[in-house]
Amino acid sequence: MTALDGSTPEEDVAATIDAIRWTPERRDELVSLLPENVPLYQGRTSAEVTRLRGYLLAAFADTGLPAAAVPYVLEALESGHMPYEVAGAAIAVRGFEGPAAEFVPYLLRAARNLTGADSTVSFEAYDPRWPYAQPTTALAEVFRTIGGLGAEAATALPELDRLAEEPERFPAPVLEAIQSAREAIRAAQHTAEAPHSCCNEVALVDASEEPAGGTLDVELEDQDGRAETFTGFFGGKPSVVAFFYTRCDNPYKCSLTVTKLAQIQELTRERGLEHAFRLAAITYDPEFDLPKRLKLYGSDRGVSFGDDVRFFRTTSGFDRLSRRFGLGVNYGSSTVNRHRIEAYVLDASGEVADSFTRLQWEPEEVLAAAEALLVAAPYGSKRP
Amino acid sequence: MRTEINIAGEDAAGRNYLTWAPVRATIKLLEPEGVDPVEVVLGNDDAAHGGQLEFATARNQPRAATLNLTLPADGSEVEFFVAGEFPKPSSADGDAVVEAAHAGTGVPLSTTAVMVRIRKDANGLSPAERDRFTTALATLNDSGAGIFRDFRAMHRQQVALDQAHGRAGFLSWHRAYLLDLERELQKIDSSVTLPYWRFDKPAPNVFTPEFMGRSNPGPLGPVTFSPTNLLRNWQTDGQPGITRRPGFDVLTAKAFVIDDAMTLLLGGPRPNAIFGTGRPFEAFVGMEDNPHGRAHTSFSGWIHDPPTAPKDPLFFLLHCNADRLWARWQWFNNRFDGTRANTFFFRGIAGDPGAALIGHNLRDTMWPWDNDRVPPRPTNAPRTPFPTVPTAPGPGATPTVGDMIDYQGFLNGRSYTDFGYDDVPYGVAP
Amino acid sequence: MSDQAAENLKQEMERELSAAEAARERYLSELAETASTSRGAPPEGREAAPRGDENPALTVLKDKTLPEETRVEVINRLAADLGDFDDVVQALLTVVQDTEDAPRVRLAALHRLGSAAFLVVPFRPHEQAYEQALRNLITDADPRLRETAVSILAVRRDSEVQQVLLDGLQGKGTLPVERERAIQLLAEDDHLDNLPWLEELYQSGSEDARQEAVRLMGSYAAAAKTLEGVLRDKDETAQVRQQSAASLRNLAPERFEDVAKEIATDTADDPEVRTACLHTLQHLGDRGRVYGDADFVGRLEDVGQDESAPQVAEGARNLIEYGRSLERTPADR
Repeated sequence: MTALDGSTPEEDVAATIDAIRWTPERRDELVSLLPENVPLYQGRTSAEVTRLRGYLLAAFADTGLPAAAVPYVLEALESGHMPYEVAGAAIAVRGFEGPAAEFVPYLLRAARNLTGADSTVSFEAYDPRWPYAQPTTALAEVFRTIGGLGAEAATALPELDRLAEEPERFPAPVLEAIQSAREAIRAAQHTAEAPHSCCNEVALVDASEEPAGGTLDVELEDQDGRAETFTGFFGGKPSVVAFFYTRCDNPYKCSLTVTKLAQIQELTRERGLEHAFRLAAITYDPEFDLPKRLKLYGSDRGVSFGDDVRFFRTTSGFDRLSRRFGLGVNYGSSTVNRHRIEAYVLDASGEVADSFTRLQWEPEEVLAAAEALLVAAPYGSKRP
Repeated sequence: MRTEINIAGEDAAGRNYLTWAPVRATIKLLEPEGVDPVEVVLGNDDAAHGGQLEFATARNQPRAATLNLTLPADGSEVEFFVAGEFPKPSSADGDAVVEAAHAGTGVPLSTTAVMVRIRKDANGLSPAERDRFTTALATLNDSGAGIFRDFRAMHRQQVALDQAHGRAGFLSWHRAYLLDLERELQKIDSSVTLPYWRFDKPAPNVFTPEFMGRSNPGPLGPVTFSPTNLLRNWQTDGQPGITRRPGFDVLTAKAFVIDDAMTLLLGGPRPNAIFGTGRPFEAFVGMEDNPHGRAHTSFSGWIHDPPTAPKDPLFFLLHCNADRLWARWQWFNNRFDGTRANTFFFRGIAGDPGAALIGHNLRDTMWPWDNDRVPPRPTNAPRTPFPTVPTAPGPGATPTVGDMIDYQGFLNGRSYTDFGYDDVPYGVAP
Repeated sequence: MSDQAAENLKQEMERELSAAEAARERYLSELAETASTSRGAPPEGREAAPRGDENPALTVLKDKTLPEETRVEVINRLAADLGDFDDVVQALLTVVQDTEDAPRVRLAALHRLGSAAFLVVPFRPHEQAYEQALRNLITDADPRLRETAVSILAVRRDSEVQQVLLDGLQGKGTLPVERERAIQLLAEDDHLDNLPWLEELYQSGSEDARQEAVRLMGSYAAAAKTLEGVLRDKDETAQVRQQSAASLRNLAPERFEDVAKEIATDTADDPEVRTACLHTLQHLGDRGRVYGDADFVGRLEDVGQDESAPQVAEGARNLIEYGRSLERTPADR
């Protein structure tokens, strides 16, 4: 495949996707375009990135959806807020060849997230102009995919039934899609055997990016304007660090990540572990996210700052930091155009011990990973 | 011989802020000259200027401009009630002064300065009142780095908007939203109240560079501010300034709304006026569409759409007027008891049979102050708990929809919240 | 006294409400009359066809043969009397999208739809149709309808309108609004890398354009130098420079403070810009950096005495006095 980068015209990228669409053996080339930090997305606006990713994801319905692409589809369903991309992800699920019951909770999550935030989109061509010949919406595609899963989507029935009882929540075409999905699942239940749950684990591991090692020379400034170095702060104790930026307009990404970081802090207090760990968040957007912005973004979401709990922007070395963590982020000419969810547990020497990327993480599981480091090398734990 | 007056709800700096609602106070004699009780008369130090006060011996007794009290010589306290005299609010902190004088000689025994702190028509504010407000609001925003971010975040996501729009909870949620903001403003300048924009009248003094900004008439219509209007530094979501273009002549015309009288008739005439029916548009809460929604859409720009509307500070003046209309309707129709069908629509709690969406039932707590982050609530609760103040006990740290109804503490003193309007008296219409 | 004032108020309201009620009744009966003779009314001598139970207001709203004024009045004057919520929204959507209908009526209907959209929950079933109607209006023949719809969609960061604006700016399509306005509206979304367009807007001429350009540049860290240049440019107008100051403060508060201190104490500079700088420093500046700068405060003492620029002098005195009041009540601040 010709190397695609930020300067490749969108139409050319779309033509490449279309070419691969009908040559499924090349579908891994599509998978290679999914990580956020590949050159394809460099310098583009977030709108372009959304268009490209939505179109790309939808192509998996034709090529078949390989396991390596599944985490990206799940991510878009679970945390996507742009209707076009969520619709593309819902369409992509139809290309999955194995048992697909595991997709159902993610599809339902997408349905909840997009209720009230849906929009008319179209996959009739790349970036079609209004009015569309084949209009659809993210919610319609999500419910169509659920219906298409037939008996495998049996777990969705209670929620679909509930939604059908609240007709005032949806426009008529979406209600029809909900209704059709219910009927399709019920019909399939009568004819098909129950799905085997033992074998339909989809690949949830996102192994496409490998962090690089080496020493890390990064200068930081915290929410109070105090200078710090990466090794100065992330040393001596295990820590949890998440990445975010204050202008993120996706409520399921940075805002939620920082809210969950505050929940981790609360859990450490409850367990008497508040001095055992350091908690931090580092912005992807260091030029814009000045200390005051960092401080308010954290305190708004329940973070109590202290010596062991700080938010940072880099004042130098962001590129080194990004390479070290293999950060899933890319930039337009002025700000972030795309990023994944990412939180890391670092050991007392500042090395990554565990990572929680792309899919939503729970405060309990991240804290458990950090606590495991204490068991390995106890530090200042007050736990009896 | 001196007297000392203590009024309930004093703040940390020893200042009192009153509305039209009566507040408990005590007076006692200091350094008595003799053993006989002393008769004193309470009144306004300056009956011609500043906020005016009136007095009574019990909360819901008729109040008068003067009150005679007999004070025991042993210095024990005598209770009375004090309230702002409708419609004579203060225009500056401490400009309402209680004078206690000897009833016989007229010799002053003490003066106690308070403020009758009342929300006023924005079009009629004095330059000083206007500047205090814009300065406090801009300080709260602090070029986007201030607490205002939380208020912006509360009115953005669809799941958040669901809690507060399209059903009976609309008015209660926004009353709490405004009061929360006003209390934050008062932390910056305790003499500030939210003004209201009468959208059914021309308001030439509001849309000026000195106040809410003037939209230039050209196709780009930048909103301009005077050099000393701190709102020029306004910033939300990382974007400086304000996007706002009026669709009407702000100097000579009203917005495209039905007027006050038509609004007050939405629930039907007295004495059978009703608040809501559970169906959109209907009864008084239908005012969410016209005049409220229509006031929003009398402009293009941020204020036109629910998710962006609070990015424009005019939002809060517009909503203050919507809330004033509710307060006026409540006063005129005696609608303070939320358990009555004509005062609120759904009187139960989310989950009850026939209940409305969460946030729209009388006993539902309100997001975000309740810190409820379980769906269908939003995942984040930016303002929790509701700020409490020494001035008034209501509405509590986690207010319910119902807690916002008896805002003057008319039926229950514990409900008293410290705001009032310059054209809505305390209590109910006679 | 409050009691008397309340009694007076009640009587006044009773009068107003009685008059409003009577006016409303009159208007509704006029509407019923108009509706009964409106389109579809039978020829003389024949019995009227049953009209179902449609609200007369809706009949009037939909009837294109009636005067525009009459129909606009229905849209703006009525609230719940218009009819059932869903019926009203449907009727408004029909009017808005009828390209044969009068633009003035369609525009009123569009604004009224926006109003109904504030009832977020019951409006949800109509949200898709509303969005479609707005997108259809992007290419409408009437410029006011185009402008209104494009503005609403741009604020909503609608991907469709963003593409239309971008295509137009790049010469790949027709712009629905003037070029400067298109840049301004596209810049509603600060994730679109609009800085080159904003630079064009700044260069394009009018004071309004330059003021909006520097306002919108305030979202782009890379614009800080440009903004500082505009703030320092004594040939630029006071309004544009003041907006530039606000935008620079957004991106680089310390840099803003340094420049603002210079301007505030430069007796050769524009008094309005100097006043704005002083006012912002006083209320929003970092207290340590403003009041801890003895040299600056010293120079301000002189400015405070300079009666050749009284507004600036007053601003300087206010700033100094405010600093003293902070020293007196440190705990309270």
